[in-house]
Amino acid sequence: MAYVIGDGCLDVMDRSCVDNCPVDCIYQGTRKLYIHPDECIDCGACEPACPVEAIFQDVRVPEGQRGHVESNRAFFAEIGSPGGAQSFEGPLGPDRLPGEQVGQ
Amino acid sequence: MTPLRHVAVVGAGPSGVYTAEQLAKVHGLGVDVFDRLPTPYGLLRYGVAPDHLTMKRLTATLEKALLRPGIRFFGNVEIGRDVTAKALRERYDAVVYAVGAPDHHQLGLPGEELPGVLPAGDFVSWYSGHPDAAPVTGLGAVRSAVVVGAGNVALDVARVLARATEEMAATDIPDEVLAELAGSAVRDIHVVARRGPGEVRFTAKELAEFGELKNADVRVHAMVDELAAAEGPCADLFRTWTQRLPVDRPRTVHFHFGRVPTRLAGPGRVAEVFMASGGAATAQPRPLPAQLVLTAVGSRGRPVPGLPFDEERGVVPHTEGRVRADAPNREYVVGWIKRGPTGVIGTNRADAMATVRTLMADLAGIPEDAGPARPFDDGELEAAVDWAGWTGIDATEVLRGTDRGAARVKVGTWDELLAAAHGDSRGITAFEKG
Repeated sequence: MAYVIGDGCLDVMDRSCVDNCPVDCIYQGTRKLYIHPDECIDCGACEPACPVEAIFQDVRVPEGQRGHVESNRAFFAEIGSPGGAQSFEGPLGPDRLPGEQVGQ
Repeated sequence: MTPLRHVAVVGAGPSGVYTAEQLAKVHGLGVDVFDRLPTPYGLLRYGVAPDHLTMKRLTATLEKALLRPGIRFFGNVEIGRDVTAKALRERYDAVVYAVGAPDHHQLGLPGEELPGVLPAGDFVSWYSGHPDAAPVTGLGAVRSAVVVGAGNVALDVARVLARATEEMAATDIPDEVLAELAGSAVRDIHVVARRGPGEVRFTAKELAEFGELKNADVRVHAMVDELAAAEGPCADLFRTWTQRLPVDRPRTVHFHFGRVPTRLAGPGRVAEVFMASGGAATAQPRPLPAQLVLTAVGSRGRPVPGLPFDEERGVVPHTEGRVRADAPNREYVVGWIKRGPTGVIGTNRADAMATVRTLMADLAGIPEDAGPARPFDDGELEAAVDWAGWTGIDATEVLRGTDRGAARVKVGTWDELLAAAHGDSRGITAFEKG
């Protein structure tokens, strides 16, 4: 299990969640942030930290935003497990959004 | 050349480690982290439930932080016993207290002193293998346990009591604890909340685990109207469980709402919990049988020698992390001794960043050459357990885990911890001798 960032973050990227993540597993895209599904320890610190309530536990993602579970995973598919977001300035990779064909 | 500034951090739990990491990594300071235990990680090691294995993965993050250049670990050093607060003030450019909230609130009820009644926090310390924990015995005579409280600690102790022996064997609990739990005769675990099903302070994620327990069924004792009207993710779970068909499992976890314990009764040791109904119900609730009562009604900070203390809130008063804004002493607080026992582990990371901002702003205001810091030399504190000592304990625990198929099994006494830290662990010797 892991937490997932949904629609609310798109073009917002407040980043409060980043400072609250104990394992530093919230990475930046160009338009939104992504939680690494394998690095996340499921502690829940990010959920209340988000000012736009864009973060959900993966089993509780609301209808209509479920696609973010897969696109969060897809974001890291080629990147692997970088082991800490603080080492990166700027976007880590191209955005992955629900409904888009990966690879296009 | 700019003299290197040195900061002392008291407490090697998550908030202390995050503070040290910020100071060393972002600001390039030297940081000495002290802990009264010979082991780092604080409540991650001695508070996070042993079956929450995912959360324990945070250990790797904290280890990486403590291994940064510039950070040293001084375990088995208690401030006030081995080193005075004054010495820390004099030797370091700043001192950050990250000492947590180790004391437990009590119910203040008649019968609370009976054998079989203890703070849930003491039970947590016991199963976590804390070297100061009093052993829990007699679980073989407990058929019904009552847990008073509506927070996540109540859920932790209820879940540990509910789990099967083989589930707990895969965790890091000490062998003696596993043996005691294996002999448990517990059939019913009653979680008693003063609040209604919509007001409990459980984290929904942790409550949801009860629906997945292999060894226990869940029963919700709530009034139909009250449950129907309750809102929030916890209430959703409770409603789901009321619709579940009973399953035959060795144990049952019961959730009660709007119940206020009034009296614990013996004879000799606790046998019953009397309650009043706190909600709209008119009928007097029947007492619950209980041979074990765990009270999970909150924890609080303990006064730190030499620092002011807010008795009411159980915290050290501060302004943006700085203790005593008007005094020349550069003393700071972070974590639960600063905010009280709230938030999840990650909350401490943002909290540490806030305290470090204040500290760095203060340091910027003093001359670089004003009384350079005189941090302790390696080996100067004779009884201190350094990082190498901790790795000795760590290795011993990992080795013990191999016999049980667990990632580690904790060393739970002072003697064994110090022996392992000094490299003469019986476990390692036996292994080397083959």
